[in-house]
Amino acid sequence: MSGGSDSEEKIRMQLPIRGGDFSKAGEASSKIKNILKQLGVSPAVIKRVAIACFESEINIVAYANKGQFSVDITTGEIRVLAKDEGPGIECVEMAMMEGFSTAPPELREMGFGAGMGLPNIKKAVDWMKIESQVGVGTELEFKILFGGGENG
Amino acid sequence: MHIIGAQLAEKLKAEMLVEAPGVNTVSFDSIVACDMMSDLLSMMNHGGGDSGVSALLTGLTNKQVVRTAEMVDIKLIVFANGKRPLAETIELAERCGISLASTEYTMFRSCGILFECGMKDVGGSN
Repeated sequence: MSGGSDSEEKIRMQLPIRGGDFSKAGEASSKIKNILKQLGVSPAVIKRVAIACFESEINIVAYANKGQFSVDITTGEIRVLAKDEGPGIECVEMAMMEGFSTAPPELREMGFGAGMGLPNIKKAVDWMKIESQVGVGTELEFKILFGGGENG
Repeated sequence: MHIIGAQLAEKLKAEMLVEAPGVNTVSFDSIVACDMMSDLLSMMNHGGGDSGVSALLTGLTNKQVVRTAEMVDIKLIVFANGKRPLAETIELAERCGISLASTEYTMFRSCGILFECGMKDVGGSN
């Protein structure tokens, strides 16, 4: 985790994500989006959170056996830990390059797998960290500040 | 240029398949045209659609189009080339309050018509 926050904690939740189940892909991100809407977070910030969450969720559904979002929302920020059990990423540096993709054809037919996922998440968030172990899984953690932040 | 959903559909001679509440009170001012949802997320992540409401022109008809549109606050999806969405796509659009329409025009012609009538690209250029 990066530096702590002084903001009072408001909401903590865990949302399971099933690998391979494209019919449910996006439901966890949609839930987070609706909670932020109810909390009165600005639409521009909500859009950045939704993009980062949705890209992460699609990655878990497409590549992992299972995963989950651990979400912490305070008055000033949202932190999401997207953790999965799956093949892991062989070279994180390559995966962060725009256009690099190992997506299966099924994913491309749905309009994903253009190699924009991780770079897109990086652009949307104020802070992110990614750790991956081949054959074990991936942990992606990111933070978005409600006050605008570096990318807001 | 700002037009409501019904006017946009009329310009493309499109049939409204799902008319979500409010589609004819929302003003659309920009268009995103793509088949890759990854591209849509990327374009909308570059400030696209922050100041107004965008409509999506696409040839992709699966449920993930609606899910992606929901994430980036797109309120109207127009399917080009006369394509029709799957039943599950329609069902999700109704639940998410996103309108769907289908035009016989190609993507190229649809873009041309909307460009000619002053609709902007996402991010504001035209």
